[in-house]
Amino acid sequence: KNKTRHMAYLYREKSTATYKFKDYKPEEVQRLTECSTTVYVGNLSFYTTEEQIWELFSKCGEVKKITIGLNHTTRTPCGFCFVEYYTRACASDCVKWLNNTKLDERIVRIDWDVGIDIEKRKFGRGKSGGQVRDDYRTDYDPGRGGYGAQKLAELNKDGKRTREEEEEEEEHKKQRT
Amino acid sequence: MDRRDNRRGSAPRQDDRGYRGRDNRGGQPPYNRRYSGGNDRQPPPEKTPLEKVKDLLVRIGDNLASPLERNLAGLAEALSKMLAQDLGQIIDILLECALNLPTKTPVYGTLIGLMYTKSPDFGKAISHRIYSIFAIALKRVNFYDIKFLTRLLSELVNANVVDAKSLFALFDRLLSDDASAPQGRRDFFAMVVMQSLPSAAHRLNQEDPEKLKQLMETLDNRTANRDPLITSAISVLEHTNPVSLVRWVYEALAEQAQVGWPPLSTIRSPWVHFKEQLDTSSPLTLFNFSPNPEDIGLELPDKDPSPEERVIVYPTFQNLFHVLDKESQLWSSRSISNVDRFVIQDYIIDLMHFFNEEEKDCIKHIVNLPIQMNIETVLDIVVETIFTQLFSLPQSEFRRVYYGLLFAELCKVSNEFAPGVLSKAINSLYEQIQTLDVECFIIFTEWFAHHLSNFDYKWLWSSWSNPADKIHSDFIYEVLYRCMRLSYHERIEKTVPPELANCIPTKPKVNFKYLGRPDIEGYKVAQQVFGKMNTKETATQIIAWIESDDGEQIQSLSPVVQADVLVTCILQAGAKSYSHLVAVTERYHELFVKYVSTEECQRQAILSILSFWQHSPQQALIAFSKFLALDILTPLAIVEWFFSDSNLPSYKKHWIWEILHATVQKAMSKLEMLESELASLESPEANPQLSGEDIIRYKHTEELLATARQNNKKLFIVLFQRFETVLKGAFEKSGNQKEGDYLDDYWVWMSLGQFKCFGRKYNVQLRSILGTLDLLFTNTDPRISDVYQQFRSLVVNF
Repeated sequence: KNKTRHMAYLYREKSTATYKFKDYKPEEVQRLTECSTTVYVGNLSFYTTEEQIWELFSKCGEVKKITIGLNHTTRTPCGFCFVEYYTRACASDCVKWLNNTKLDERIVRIDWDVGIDIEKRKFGRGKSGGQVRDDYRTDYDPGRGGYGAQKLAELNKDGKRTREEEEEEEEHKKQRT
Repeated sequence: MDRRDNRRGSAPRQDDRGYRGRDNRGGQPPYNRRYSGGNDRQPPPEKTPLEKVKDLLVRIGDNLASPLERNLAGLAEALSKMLAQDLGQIIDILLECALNLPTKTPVYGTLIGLMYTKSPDFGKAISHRIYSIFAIALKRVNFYDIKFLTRLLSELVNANVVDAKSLFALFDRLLSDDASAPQGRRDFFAMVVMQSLPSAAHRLNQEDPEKLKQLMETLDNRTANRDPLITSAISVLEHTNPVSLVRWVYEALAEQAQVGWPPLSTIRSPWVHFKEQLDTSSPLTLFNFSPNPEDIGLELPDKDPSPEERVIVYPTFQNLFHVLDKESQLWSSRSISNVDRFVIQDYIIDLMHFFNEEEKDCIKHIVNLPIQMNIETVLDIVVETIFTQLFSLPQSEFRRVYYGLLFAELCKVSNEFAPGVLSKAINSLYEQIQTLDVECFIIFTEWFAHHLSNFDYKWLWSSWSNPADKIHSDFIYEVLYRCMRLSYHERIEKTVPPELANCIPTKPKVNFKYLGRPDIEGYKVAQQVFGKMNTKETATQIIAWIESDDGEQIQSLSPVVQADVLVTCILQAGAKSYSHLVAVTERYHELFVKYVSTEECQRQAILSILSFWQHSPQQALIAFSKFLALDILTPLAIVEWFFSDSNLPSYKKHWIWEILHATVQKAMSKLEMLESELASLESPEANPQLSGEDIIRYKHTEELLATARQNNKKLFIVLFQRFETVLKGAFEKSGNQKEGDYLDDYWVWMSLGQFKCFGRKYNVQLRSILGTLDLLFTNTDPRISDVYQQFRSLVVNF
């Protein structure tokens, strides 16, 4: 069978994972991501179901396992997941093509994952229980619980959170569950 | 080109400047994140002169606004000075660029010509390299290398590096196959020659018009008597006369021959500017023309005689796909010949191949094609070409999702015109949807739903509010169903206007048959079993309970009902989400092994899944995939159920066929995984010093692989046997059909179409059972044997 060539590399170097894994040494990360069949998916809505994830990611091959990232206090989804495929070719196609396209009408970010300790790493590491980015972000995102934790604390202190925003959030939540 | 821009996983900028985690990578200058694992603040290391030159070589000719001729002259000057030290490396880089950047072969040809004028040794060295690479490419049957080497040689003739005699000799060699060679091979080599003629013909006509005429005659003979079955086998739109690409290209070239081979505007010719300079060197003779084509020393790949022994799979050239007419203002004013269209199509297909890693790059190159025309004037060709690859039969080169996302990217980049052209194409396809091949119908629905999901599901649904027939309304239903799978029911309800409300699929839900139905057999047992599963008792505990005295009730049920109860309860326990199903199935795997192992029990398990998930086909498909993956159900069991009498009426539903496809695909992927596992192990023959353990592992994998191969062979034989029986039975019955019976035209359209789809999709696997299949389909209904002959032609010819 003809092996296809990836000529974009003539223009820029190929990379494996772009995330800096803090818990593992760089050589280990290199080795693990180069034989990994697991990908990380970020910027999900809290309400995206596993079936939606399965549907999109099945377009790149058969999905073996989906592990939804959870808030470490409430044990509810906090907007990321790991998708494991049976073969690396499927995972590689996924990182190549599905990255920066939409799932559940949000642009998702897909990156290689080391593929080990998923059960340990599936919890958000932010102070509010979710992902760290949700602690600090300042925009209003109804799919990710409205305001980020820090901003929310600021607003609630001033009592400025409007009724409209609360209602919008309740509405969004109701529609998706 | 800023390298920092296209990092994987980079987020759109958000206002906070705080934590920079995975999703919020800033990547602001001057930090270049590519050099992670060290101190990020170091500037990238200085480039060596060779690396700088490589960058220039790769990028030359990309920017259409910049003066190509001046750049070429400058680069040739710079390179010639470096030849003394780095000859080998420069040749490597030049050839790598020439063979992998499809639209720039003329540029590299001219560059080599210019360098040849400055250094004859360089010319000899590079031509020797080309010769040896060509020999290797032919040996390994590397399709793209062969094609681009031939094209590079044509450009070298234009640049006066190689003489026309050599090129003619090469063409003769490539076309030297006799009539016994399979059509796929003859087609491939004919196309290699024809894909180089647009570049070469003008010059060849000046040098030796007689030989060119002879060449055209040879091509005429080659392409005239092609097997029409092949064209029908891969036709997307089942018109009366699908146009095969190979013949169409020949006819386009013949048109050019009639008007004396004028130079084409769609191919760049930088060598014209340098003609005086290039003419100063004397062209090399790479191949000697002789009556015996084999004398040039290039070996064509070994001919594999019979389909069973054949290892190579030649590419199938897709038929011409034409759905857009010249109505739009954009392209009614242009005047391009068929050859121009072919050149543009070829460029686009090659770009999609070489730039498959980065859709953005691919579309950027497509939008900047060096065809001396604005891309908007040829957008219809672009859209039709991408559709050709999306619908590519029997297989597409890359996963079909890639082509879909190319459309999305195209709509973003050319947002003024491309969405309009694409909509026209979609509407045109919708109108002809009843002539679409069934497999392409399904590809179309899958693609369209995914496309819409990237664009907020915006579509002019109301223009489709009165579907002409069942196939049209089915199409809308299937698209909406897949949109629902990618989102959720309320979202689709919101998008679709009320006129199409009856096309919206129902909300998925569970059907736990024991809920509130004490009259069903096994109700009490189901309650007990489900209770145990809810409290997460292990499989061993449940088995122990069943076999003990307490399990009297369950023991009194027949094995089939036991299987029903167990499978239904397991499904209910795992109904909440995909992960729940995975967890529950793994936890109770032993139960399956013990109680769902006989044929009847497996059949019951299948029926239980279908009953449980009758309102949610997606979940049924997921359950089937999982059970197949864990060897709870065998592919053969599913095939047997599929073609059983009770299942025949449901053939009109697309999702039933999805299950069959997934089953066969799963059997194939298991085989492939075993093959790659075996390939990764060292064999005892290769390494006599292998340890005992490794030898055992190798032999074990070999055995597993052999068993899997046998099983798959049997699976395909059974599959086609059942197809024949069911279809033949249907045609016999349709003579005396009652009102309301399921055997209508739609059923026939779907079933025959799927039969063709399976035969075509797995035609390579059918090579080993061709004899059996021939026997099977000898005395059958002509409609069935017609379809069989079509995909059979793929089996023997490619």
